[in-house]
Amino acid sequence: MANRINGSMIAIVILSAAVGAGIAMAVVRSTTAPASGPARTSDGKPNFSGIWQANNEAHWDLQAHEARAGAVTQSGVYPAYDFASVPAAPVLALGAAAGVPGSLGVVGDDGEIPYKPEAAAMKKENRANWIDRDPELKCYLPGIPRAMYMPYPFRIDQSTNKIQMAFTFANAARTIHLDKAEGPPDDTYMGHSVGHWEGDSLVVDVTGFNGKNWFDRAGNFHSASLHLVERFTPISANAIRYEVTIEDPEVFTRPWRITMPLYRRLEPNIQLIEYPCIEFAEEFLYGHVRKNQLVKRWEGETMIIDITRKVPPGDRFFEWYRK
Amino acid sequence: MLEATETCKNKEPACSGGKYGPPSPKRAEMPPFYNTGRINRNDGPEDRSMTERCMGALLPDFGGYRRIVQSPGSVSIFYDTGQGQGWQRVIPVTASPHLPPSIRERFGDSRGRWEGNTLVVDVTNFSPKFSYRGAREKLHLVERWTRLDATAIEYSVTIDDTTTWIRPWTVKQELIRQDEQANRIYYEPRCHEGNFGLPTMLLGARAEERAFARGAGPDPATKDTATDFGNEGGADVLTGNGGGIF
Repeated sequence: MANRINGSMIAIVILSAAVGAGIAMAVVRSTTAPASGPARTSDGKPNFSGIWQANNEAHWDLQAHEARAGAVTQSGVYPAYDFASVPAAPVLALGAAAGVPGSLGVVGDDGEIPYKPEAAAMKKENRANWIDRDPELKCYLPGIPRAMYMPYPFRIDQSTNKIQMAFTFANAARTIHLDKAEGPPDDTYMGHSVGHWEGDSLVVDVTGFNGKNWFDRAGNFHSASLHLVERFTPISANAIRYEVTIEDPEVFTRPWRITMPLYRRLEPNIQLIEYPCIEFAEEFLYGHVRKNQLVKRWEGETMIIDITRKVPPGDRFFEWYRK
Repeated sequence: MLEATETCKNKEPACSGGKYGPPSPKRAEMPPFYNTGRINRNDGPEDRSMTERCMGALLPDFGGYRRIVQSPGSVSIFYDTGQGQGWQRVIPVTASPHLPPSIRERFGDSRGRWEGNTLVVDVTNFSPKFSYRGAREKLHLVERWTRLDATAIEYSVTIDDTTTWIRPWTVKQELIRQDEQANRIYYEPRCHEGNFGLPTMLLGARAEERAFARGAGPDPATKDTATDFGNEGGADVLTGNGGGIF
């Protein structure tokens, strides 16, 4: 274990293009983009450097879905009708801020995810047990492609032989190797990404997953056999068409696709602001082993959260309505 | 048998065969500031060190590997440091001002500029929740990254906090380019994903309390759970940030 600072152990991997006598760190220089075309690097490739974000509902559910009353719902007075569900206890106190927006979905072709029968059953079970199973709620590394369309900005830094992506959520990162790079010796959450250019498209082959990630908050999942082929193609200076072909013979009967635009964040002062969710998730993960429980308590295997709303003076519903 | 160990040579309490004095009356008190080290208490995650909570990494960082990828206007550095506690850093190379003082970040807010061949990075807006040798939100770093040749960078960082040190001080180190094939490392900080240690330590403390309550064990308050058993842990709560991995 590296317990002490030791000069001989300190090392770096520097990834830059040319290293000339007078050049400190070579960079890929951007050229001025035409008004409508994408920014380009000095070697003519589309330049994806910048801060980007998906602007859709794929993080809730890749597939087309109606809006829902809550991220967690339970049967209402019409138990037979899903559409009459009401928000369940974990989100009820947040009212209409805790619902799920509807979406046309991002799954290509017929919009179906071609699960094998046993995997379809698992997906259904995942969704029913979302709070206990979704790795996002635990602040685990989000994996690819999920990290690409979570509702947080991410940064791309594009050099000639490496492209680094820095994600807000969980401080996650991925490196796309444009040069030869063997994968790590074991499976990973974020996968091993190897890219090449096909015209104006950056095509990235991603393997080496550990199978612990989901695609969304709807229980869509994959195994360690996941293989992705991503295509990043410029639509304009400020938008990228992001397409992924998803293959996993353990879970799906055939490859399937998702497609969405990624948008440049245009605020002149945009920067990533940390979302330190390890500490945010501690109460969620470890609250039950506190000496004095703060928010939740356990009775056997049942977690109990008492929600007590204390309405401030003057804010009772009818008083607020008259204001 | 214990006599030959470092624990006994250094006359640490763990050598004394479990005979400890009465628990300090201060044991139940709130720490004077947000705790980042080990303390002799296990009431909740906040009583454990930042390292045990998988938040041990700090800036400045002097260990491990870095992957640097740069583009015009930005330098991205991934720090593969600690035990799966690495982190991704983005340095905007911009003349725009730092974040407003109301926004505090664990690794601070970096602003880079070029001075000739040297990337100079000013780092402020550190969080009071983390401690670099006692410096918290007033920590101010000025880093200088200079490419010496094809395989080396000189890294120098001037560390300042007038409430912690009497004057700024500077650390310099040389960073050597590594062979990527020879260092096929994970670049993936996944301490948190496998952190069974933290809840297990807390569960253990709860079990000890229950055993004490039924007369089957010692009062946990009389047991030492914070002694430094060598490099592995026990950083000084006043000066360090938890275990000794950095």
